[in-house]
Amino acid sequence: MAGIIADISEILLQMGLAASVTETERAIAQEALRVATAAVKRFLRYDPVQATHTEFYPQNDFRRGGRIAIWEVSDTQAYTRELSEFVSNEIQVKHLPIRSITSLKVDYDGRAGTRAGSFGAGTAKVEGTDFWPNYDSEDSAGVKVCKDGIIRSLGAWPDVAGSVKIVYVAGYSDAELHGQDSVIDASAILEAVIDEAVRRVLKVYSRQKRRASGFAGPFTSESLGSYSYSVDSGIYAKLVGGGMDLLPETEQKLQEFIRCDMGVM
Amino acid sequence: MALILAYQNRGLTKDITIQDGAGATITPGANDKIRAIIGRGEKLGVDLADAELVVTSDAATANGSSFTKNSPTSGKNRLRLDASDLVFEPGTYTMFIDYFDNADAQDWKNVSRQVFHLEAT
Repeated sequence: MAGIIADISEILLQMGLAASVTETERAIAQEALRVATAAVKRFLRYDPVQATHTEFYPQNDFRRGGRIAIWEVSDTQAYTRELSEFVSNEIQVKHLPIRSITSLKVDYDGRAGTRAGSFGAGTAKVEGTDFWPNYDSEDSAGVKVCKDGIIRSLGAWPDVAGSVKIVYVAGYSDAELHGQDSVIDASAILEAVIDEAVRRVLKVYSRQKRRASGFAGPFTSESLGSYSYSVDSGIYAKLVGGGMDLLPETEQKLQEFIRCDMGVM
Repeated sequence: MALILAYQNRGLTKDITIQDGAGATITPGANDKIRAIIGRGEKLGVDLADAELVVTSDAATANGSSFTKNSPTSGKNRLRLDASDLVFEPGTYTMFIDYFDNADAQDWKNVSRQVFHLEAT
């Protein structure tokens, strides 16, 4: 899967256009899918499609408050490591769920990888010895899964911003997003994207009908003398809903997948 | 555009006609090539590694799926999907039909995108 949650063909099939779609309709659906996918990612606060990510932590500067300094050795250099009362033994990465850690390195003078030679081979830490993700389950292949994205350390993580480099794989597989995995079911995310994309396409069609001669759009009746009108509630709901990033029912579907900020580093 | 329905673990044969922008039938020449890609994602034409199945007119797949130019008649191209290649997860995918025009820049051009639905048996 090329980094997507839903394919354009899944949107077209849901709309009954699979066998008769025009180039224009396909382009409208494609654009709706792009916008809906972005909206779902914004709501979740991460990209749910499985991919490799590289991030630097801590992302805040914790060097304040009560602190002490101790000597540490990082690769071939000695450093003073400053400990703040605010540091923690937990780091929460941005993308969920963690499927594996490719590498984790601690370089107290790493400067988020901008210093030449930073995060050398000697700064690599060992999973299970120096750190371990907060694994809470296993997937259908028997590989551990960490749903909250928290990585624990033996002792406190450094308090210097950009001194921990983590390369990790996170997200859901195509089968999990399509509800075809025997253990992990992330199909609610796919459904949310399809629902929102279809809603956005219908909104475009409703607007087109409203403007076109001979079509009433959401209006089921309209009279001029003592002006009155009535609307089709289904179409009207879609038009009104268009102002929202996601409909409430979509947000409800996604509740269990949201990345909650645990207030850690 | 069309919907192509296939069944998991069952073969499928379709005769595909390729058309140019004006709707005229293209007859692949001796040095031209055609291919069908089944998968999800608009980047499939570039990143074939993400495809569930790729069948080209160069050679049949190991399982015997083939895309034969000008067969059974000139202008029609027979796409044969072998049952052993239709083993990926049931669901909705996009089928891209690409055409390699030897006389026009010698690169792959997408000529059609169709909805491909694989049903479990």
